[in-house]
Amino acid sequence: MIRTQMTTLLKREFWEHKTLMLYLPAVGSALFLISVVGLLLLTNAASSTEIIFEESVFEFGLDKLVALDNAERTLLLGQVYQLSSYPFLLMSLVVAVNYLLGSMFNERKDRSILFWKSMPVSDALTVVSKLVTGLLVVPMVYLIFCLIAQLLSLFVLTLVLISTDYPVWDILWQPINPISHAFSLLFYQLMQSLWGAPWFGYALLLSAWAKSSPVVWFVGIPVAVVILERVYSPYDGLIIFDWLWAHSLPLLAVSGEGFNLEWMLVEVTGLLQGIVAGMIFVGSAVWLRGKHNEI
Amino acid sequence: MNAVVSVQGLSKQYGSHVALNNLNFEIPQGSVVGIIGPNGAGKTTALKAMLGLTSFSGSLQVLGRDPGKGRHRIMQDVCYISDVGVLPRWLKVADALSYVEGVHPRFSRPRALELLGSTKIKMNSQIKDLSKGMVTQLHLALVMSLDVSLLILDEPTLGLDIVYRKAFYDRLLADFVDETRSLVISTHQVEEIESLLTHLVFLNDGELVLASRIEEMKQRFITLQVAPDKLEQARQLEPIGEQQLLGRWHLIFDSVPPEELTTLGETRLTPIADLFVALVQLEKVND
Repeated sequence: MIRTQMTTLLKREFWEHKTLMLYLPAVGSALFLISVVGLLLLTNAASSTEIIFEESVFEFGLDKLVALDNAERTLLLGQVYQLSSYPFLLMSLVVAVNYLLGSMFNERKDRSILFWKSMPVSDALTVVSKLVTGLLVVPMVYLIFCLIAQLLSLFVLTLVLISTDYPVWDILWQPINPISHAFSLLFYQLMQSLWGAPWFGYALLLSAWAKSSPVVWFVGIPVAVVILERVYSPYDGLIIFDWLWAHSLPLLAVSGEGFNLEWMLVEVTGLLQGIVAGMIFVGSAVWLRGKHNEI
Repeated sequence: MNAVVSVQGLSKQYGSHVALNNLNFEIPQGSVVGIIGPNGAGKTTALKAMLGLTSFSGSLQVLGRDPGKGRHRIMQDVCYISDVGVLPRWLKVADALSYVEGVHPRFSRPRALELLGSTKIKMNSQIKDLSKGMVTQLHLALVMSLDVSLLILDEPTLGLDIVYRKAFYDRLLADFVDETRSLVISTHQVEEIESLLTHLVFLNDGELVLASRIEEMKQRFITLQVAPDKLEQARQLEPIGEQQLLGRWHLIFDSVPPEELTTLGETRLTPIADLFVALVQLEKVND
């Protein structure tokens, strides 16, 4: 029964948030594809294009790409391909936090909580379904739309290149390696959910607790804590601030190394601290879901 | 008969405000109970306590379980409709059915489809596109497709027009009520459920005014329509309430033998609303 209930609860989250979980990422993919096609139309793919930026001249073009040696090409294309996933990863993060903040606030506001609570579903299962949606479903949906957009773009580029004499496989598919890229993106999304656990759990807790605008509390409380620490801290430096900042989002910005997440293996203590904090927040959210009804 | 709900010393306080003060009553199996009282009497609070939706002090048993420990277990055998409009606006009718089917072990889809078939509700409509009356019809159809032993309705027809209200109660009476299933309805418009009820619970300011079987109530409280010349004689029998209607006096008596009253005028059953008013005023006088 619990498994059927869980599946139903996840479907229910999808029904409520079709815009965030289907239409928005689909529009994102479409825009991505349109930009790639637009760039190809504006530039002449077969010869170089010069872009002047702050007196430096950057030249782009297939002839330049072909002229590079294998290692350089792999590095360059890999970076460009990774960079092109950032909009999706950031969207995924914003959507997840936004979703979690509203997940138990909206049902109290529109009083539908009285309907949900009239069903034999435990508060713990309800909260877990929201956690799974925010930390797993949303990142996976955005990952899939990102990969689809990128693959379609690769196909478009392939079509353009087929009309030239350049070896498509060697200069495009092999250096980019979409499969290994997909796995590193998957790993990144999962790690983001774990690393951001305290913030995600905190969002869920606020959603079950706040009587008005959870997003204001989401920003307000940490800012207040950090200001208090700054003014009254008996120690040198800012321990709370550093910790919050280190666990803050997105992961890309924290590491400063993009997808290279090896540092995380060194930071196991930090990771575990975050997960424990997240679990405490989620536990409190379950307790509050049982206690609170309509606003 | 077994008690479906047993309430002993039920109290609830919000800060310094006493919402429920030491209530005691029982709801037997197969009964239709009206929780009657004005707004703010504590009806919703009492129902929420039974459903495990609020904390309370005292002892409360619903189908042998303590609702304070695990709302979701109680909800397998109890269902609840609070006042209209709590179905989420974004939900589609078809998805509402799928949801209940997925989370409730006692849901019958054929039954729900049959019930919805007699309404104008379309499966692909969103709840926000339905009228208030249709939302209530949908909610009732969902709930009546559950094989539960206790149904709790909190002001279920609030804000509905008279046609929907009548259809709502007709449907309930025809399809839900039987010897094994019990129904609790709270309302401040008692007239429309008067004919359904087997039991009454009067609440006022969080206090229990009366808990009685309807049959007992009918025998105990009698209204006497009395001509002005016999009014003083009738007052000697200490009526608990008086009302002047179209020039005639209506006196309500508590536990006075009917033989004594028939000599003074015409006796008849006391309408629940009149009895409630009389009892509440009596309490005020006694305070």
